[in-house]
Amino acid sequence: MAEAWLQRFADAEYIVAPSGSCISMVRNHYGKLPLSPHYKEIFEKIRHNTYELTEFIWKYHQDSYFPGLFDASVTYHASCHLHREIGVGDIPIELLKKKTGLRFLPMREADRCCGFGGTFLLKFAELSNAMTQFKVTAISETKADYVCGADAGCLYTIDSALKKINSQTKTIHIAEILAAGLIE
Amino acid sequence: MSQLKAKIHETLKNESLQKNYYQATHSAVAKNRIRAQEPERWESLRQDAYQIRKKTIENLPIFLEKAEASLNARNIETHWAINAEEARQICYKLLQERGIRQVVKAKSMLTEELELNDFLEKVGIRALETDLGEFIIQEAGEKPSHITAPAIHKSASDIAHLFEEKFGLPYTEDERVLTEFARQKLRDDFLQTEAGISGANFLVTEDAALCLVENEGNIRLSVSIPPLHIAFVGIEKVVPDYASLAILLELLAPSATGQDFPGYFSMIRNVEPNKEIHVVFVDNGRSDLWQNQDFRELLHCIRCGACLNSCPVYQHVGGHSYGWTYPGPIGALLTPLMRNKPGDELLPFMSTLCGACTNACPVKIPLHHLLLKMRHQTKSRQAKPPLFSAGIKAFTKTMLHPRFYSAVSRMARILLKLIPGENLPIPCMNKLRHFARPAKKMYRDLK
Repeated sequence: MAEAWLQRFADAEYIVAPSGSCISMVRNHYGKLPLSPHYKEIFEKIRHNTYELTEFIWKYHQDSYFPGLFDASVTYHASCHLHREIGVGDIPIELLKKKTGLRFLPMREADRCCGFGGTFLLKFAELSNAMTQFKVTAISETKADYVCGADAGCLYTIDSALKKINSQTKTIHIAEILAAGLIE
Repeated sequence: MSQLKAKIHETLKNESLQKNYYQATHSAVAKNRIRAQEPERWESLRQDAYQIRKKTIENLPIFLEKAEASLNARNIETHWAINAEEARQICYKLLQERGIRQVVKAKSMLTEELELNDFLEKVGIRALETDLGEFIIQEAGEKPSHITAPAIHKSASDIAHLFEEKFGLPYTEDERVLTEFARQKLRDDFLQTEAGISGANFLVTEDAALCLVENEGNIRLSVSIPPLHIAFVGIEKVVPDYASLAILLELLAPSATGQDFPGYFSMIRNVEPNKEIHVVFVDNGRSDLWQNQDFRELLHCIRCGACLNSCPVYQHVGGHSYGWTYPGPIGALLTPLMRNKPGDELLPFMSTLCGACTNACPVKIPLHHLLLKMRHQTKSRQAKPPLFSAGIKAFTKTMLHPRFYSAVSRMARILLKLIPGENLPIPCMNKLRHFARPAKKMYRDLK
């Protein structure tokens, strides 16, 4: 699969994905795969042009970035791979704060794992639930209209747990907030 | 249900237990001043420590020879134990030859690993734990739940109940009263006991020095008052020189408890007149680990507990769930490698691979990457159920053909919309989670 992916993106100038996990897979794990020399070469060529969305905007469009309007209070979940494996730090928060009308509400232990962890969710369901419960409590305490993040796995996990408790806080991908007020 | 899952279930049901774990570990992480206020210095210390540990472990046989020679030159006797049984027998022989029936013990995870206390009890020697946390759990008949804070799972009220029941101390949650009581009780033991048993945090090979780090002063008393001192030293504990020691020391206390520096730091270099010091080098699986290139880095560990403190899984399931001496991410790796009992192979899967451990480790062991590597190795050893293999095959095929993928995901969306009610038919997930409906528009259709 990695080879098929590399082939598809071999000629791309930049590769941008709205997912910390995907980018971390390419950057931090493709190098350890037994790739053939042909694919190894492609990997070496494109690995440094592969960016997570917020990272890309920050690096190349910081000055030309047009924030647009998003009139709501928002808190941010710093997903594990985005935060620790890619190390974007506070870039997503800085981008959010630029939006007109957006009121940013910090969450306690924002970089604490939401409990998703891929198959972990099924293998250790009870433990995963406990971890998600912790995250959802932290989110609820902010009383924000939205909780955003940049990894679909976390957002799915958080969303399903928030809905269960009929929380007023809705889940949204950070890309949707960044794009809001621009298209229409 | 596996034993591991039964223990997780038991801990998750116990809210006050989880609270004890969370509060203690969270405050240790929060208190690390250097990391919070001088992040660049912290990172540079970690990088230096990584290099020191790498160099030491790569050349371990040479450093061990040096260590032995420099200890012997100072009249400190050395012994080598290939496994736990040998280590226990060496200890027994030393005590028996001198007619010693009671020992005071300084906190040591290695002696926990060797199950020394149980052994000594069987051969009729009383072992008195002198670290407050160890004292508490010994009285409670339990095992340590944390590498550096063995009674971390106990609240002040738990301890008050225990002291009331065991010693008739009127119930009080005043930590000072409880500590003072234990202190007075232990004072006589130090004076009346003829042997002290300790571990070691580090052993400096250049001009030998046995280094012990603690907060209570009990280790210093345990090893200095009795005429015989037996120190169990894991073979990975060697440090080449004092400059390296300084760097590791600067990282140890902040990583363990969030303190800038530990309350007490003892360096034992000379044998006083009428005293004996014996160092027992313990292998017990470490040289096998050294041979294992995939996991040799685990020997870099300085047993600070930072990976436990930062781990959300540890905070929820606690130390006892892991089932052996070393809990947390480091334990999930060491237990299958060093103990390897049926069921231990599950431990590396009990992690979301969130990377908080790797981020916290002062000697930069890539813990969550190693967990992933161990999962791969476990999986490749196990026979795969045919249905699972077929599933993976189908998934790979789908992912390799974009058009097919697109068709499958469109179909899946329709199916997901058709499922009635608010729950997916997966019972274990429904307690907390609400079924998430597909978005109105697929990501690939957004323009």
